[in-house]
Amino acid sequence: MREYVLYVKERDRTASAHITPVYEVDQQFWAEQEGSRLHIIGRSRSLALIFALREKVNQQLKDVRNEDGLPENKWLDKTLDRAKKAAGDYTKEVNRLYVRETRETGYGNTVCFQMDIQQTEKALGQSCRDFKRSIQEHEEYKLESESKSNNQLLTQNLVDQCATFIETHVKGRALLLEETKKWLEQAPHLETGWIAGFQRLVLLEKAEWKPSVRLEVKRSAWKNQLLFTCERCSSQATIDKVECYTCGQACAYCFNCLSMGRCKCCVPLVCIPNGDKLSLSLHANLPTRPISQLNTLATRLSPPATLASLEQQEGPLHMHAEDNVYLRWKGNFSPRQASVAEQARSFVTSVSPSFLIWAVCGAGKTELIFPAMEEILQLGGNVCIATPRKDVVLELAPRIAQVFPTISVLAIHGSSLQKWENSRIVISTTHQMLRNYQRFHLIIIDEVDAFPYHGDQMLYHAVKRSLVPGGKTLYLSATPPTYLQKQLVQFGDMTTRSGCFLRRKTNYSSLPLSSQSHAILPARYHGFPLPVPRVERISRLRYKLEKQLPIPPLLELCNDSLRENRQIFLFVARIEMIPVVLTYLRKHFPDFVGQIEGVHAADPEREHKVKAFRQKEYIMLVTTTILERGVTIPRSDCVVLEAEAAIFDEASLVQIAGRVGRSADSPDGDVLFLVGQKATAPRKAIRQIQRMNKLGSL
Amino acid sequence: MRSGRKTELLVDRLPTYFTSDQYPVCYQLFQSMELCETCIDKLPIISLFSCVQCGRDERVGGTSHCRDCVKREQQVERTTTIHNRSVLRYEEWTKELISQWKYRGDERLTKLCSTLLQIGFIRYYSNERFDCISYVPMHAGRLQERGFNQAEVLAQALSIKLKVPCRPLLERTKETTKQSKQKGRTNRFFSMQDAFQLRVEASQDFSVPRNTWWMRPFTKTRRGMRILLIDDIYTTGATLQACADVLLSSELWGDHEVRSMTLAR
Repeated sequence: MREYVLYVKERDRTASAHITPVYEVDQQFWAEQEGSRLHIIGRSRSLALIFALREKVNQQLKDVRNEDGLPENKWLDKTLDRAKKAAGDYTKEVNRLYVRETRETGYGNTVCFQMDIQQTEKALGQSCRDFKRSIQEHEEYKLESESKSNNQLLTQNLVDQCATFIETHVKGRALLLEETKKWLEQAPHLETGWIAGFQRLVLLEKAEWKPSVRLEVKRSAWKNQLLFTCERCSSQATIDKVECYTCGQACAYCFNCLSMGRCKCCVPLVCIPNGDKLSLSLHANLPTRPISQLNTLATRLSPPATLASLEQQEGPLHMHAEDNVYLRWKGNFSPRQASVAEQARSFVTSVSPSFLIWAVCGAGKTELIFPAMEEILQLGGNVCIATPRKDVVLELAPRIAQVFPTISVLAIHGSSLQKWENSRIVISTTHQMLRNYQRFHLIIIDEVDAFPYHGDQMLYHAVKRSLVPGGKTLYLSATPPTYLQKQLVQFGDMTTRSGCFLRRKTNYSSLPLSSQSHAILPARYHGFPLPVPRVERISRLRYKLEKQLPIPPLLELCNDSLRENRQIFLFVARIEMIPVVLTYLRKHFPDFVGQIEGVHAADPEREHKVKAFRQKEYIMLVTTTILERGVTIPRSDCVVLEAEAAIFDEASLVQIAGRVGRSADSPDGDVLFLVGQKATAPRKAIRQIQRMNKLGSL
Repeated sequence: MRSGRKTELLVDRLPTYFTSDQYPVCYQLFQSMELCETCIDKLPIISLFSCVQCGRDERVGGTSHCRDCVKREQQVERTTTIHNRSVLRYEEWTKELISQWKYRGDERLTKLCSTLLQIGFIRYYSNERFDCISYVPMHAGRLQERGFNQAEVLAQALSIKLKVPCRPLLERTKETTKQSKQKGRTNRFFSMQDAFQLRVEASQDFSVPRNTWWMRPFTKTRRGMRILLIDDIYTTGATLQACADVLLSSELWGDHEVRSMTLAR
């Protein structure tokens, strides 16, 4: 197993601690920079421990640096003594805490972290010897074909070769070490120097090692504790402490991101940033483009201009004439869409880091991002579209590929084979974003309020890490969560009065249509208002459903829809309710028994049933919340049974109401929320829809 | 789901598998496991009509043996077969559990698996007394790759619960291809030949009286050793048979008896 060496680099009375898996490479690197000497502090197999020690040692060295006036030899001895003592003490403390915390689960048999503090300079780490041997073996094979030359130089060449290969191929990723070996299939001759190549990059500050589970001692007045943090998903609560045979000592792994490979204390996470720079730096670009141009762009984009036609027109807008125009889109923007799209486009070159497009359901959100994508691509950047679900990735990829025909579009999800490829446009599920490191210049997050993002800190962490420094985030949503609204929507102010004091407060009821960091698209593309849901309170709703007693509002709505030949969605809170509702409906509509069906997430025939519903084979579909997004049925009505259930929150109900009236030929429809008890979510949803309609009618 | 559904299911299912003196303990253990109602409903516990020899949940009509054991008896070549018992049938549910635990490395499931094994012990071996628990070893390379030996973890947990010492008696000398990737019964038996050997320290292991104060000390009896071998899956029995052969052929402690228990069969 690989051992890591902690050493101190000292030059002109300044010292710093470093970590390496291959000490040889570091020796060579620092030898190139004259005057620096290396002193080994110790070795350990546990990466988490050794990184914690490095921090500790660096702290100690900072203190020593200030003590001048000692002769050179004494200073050095004192420094090293201090460093070793600090390392030893810290290891002891960590072990004491670890044993205390695992004593109960381990039935008295506990393991601990091991750190060999080096007492003499002579002994080299096992890893270095191994490396030397493997290099020699490799070189011998090489030397046979080539003329004999300096062995040292050849080693250096091999390491450099590896480093350049890694830098060009494996960029913009945060991967476990085993995952990087996927690239070795392309370059099997580099296997020997693979780790050394990484270390070379780290020394050149082009890459970064990290333990995939970080360790630190959390100090407090009451008691000190060990704190493990997963470097990949940044969670702290989901770490399990175990004994590990890989490193032969105490270890901890993260079970939150287990499906993407095991993050352990002894497994390094390799982070290699994307070196791609934008052709014009984002901020420098602003002054180069005169305001007048921007204005003309805005005016030209206003109705009924199309982007495609604009690109062909001559004039100030033709500044990209010499560049490639990637966007080949023939569609039209409505006036409102055009202005929002233009705002998103200008956001890309502005200074603000994030932007929210708040567009109601059925407003045509996907098209709005095309201009922004075009802009960043022309600047030479990479774009990522992150969506919560695999279905959406698969649906979106061909659409984007059609619009940007010159660029290959990667669709990345758990089971895709393209995970390890590189492209400038990437459409990814949110979990796959965890594997990226400073890779994209613009990340577009679709459906921010949907399941995986909502209330999950891990995915925000992933998005933040995938952006290059100064990168941009574009949020798309029909129902943005409150914290995002507060962050990005600039609400108006109001003055309140309490007693004789006047106070400025944020007025959440005044919703501006657009600002620096957000834009609202309150109407659908066909311009008709959103159907406003009705709430009906039915006492003993569950009982009536189970006993198949008539529920007049439900039956009326169904009868009306059947008469007009419209389809009906019925949303229920839980899977167990589906058979109940099915029997209820089949009893009350005996003529349509074959055309009533139920579907839920675990249903093996799910896709088939949804497809059949789209083709009007079924008239009524009873479903859980899985169909609340992304389904478009032209002539349909919607019923939510037991809308007071916790699973139907405001965002979910707005999305459900948004299923109705999406096509231009039947822009109206009925949405009915049946509640058994008093509930706030339906009321809030209705209020939000009404508010949007009001904004849309302005 | 209604409250008490889990209890309802347990009360419904368990009496078919356990005798009246096993039932209360096993009921408590099932209640303590972190399983949902759906899982308890699906739990493929091996029924009463299982093979007497290998513990498979199947009997050829009229006999008390499964198809494999009957066939093996007809072949006559290999007369000794290991006496095995398992807890669960190797079905979809068990496969999922084991792949999550073993291959994905979700070690939180260790507790669940060891409790299941304990239930199996109570069910099959509660009347027997074992002197030592041992497990099927893993090759050092594989062990380093995976990070833990699932059989060892099970054996350790069982040893703590039964207060019987757990000793690593065997070691693996040959790195065989994964059993789950090999095809054919004879192939598997063939590849397992000479794959194990007795550890050099094995004899010393027994001279160590006990590793913790509550562990029952090892006593050498006249009848020889009774060893319980633990593994996670029994498919053809090749691995366990090879281990048992090594243990039986060693003349360290007189004639012993080797039984085995696995999580899935």
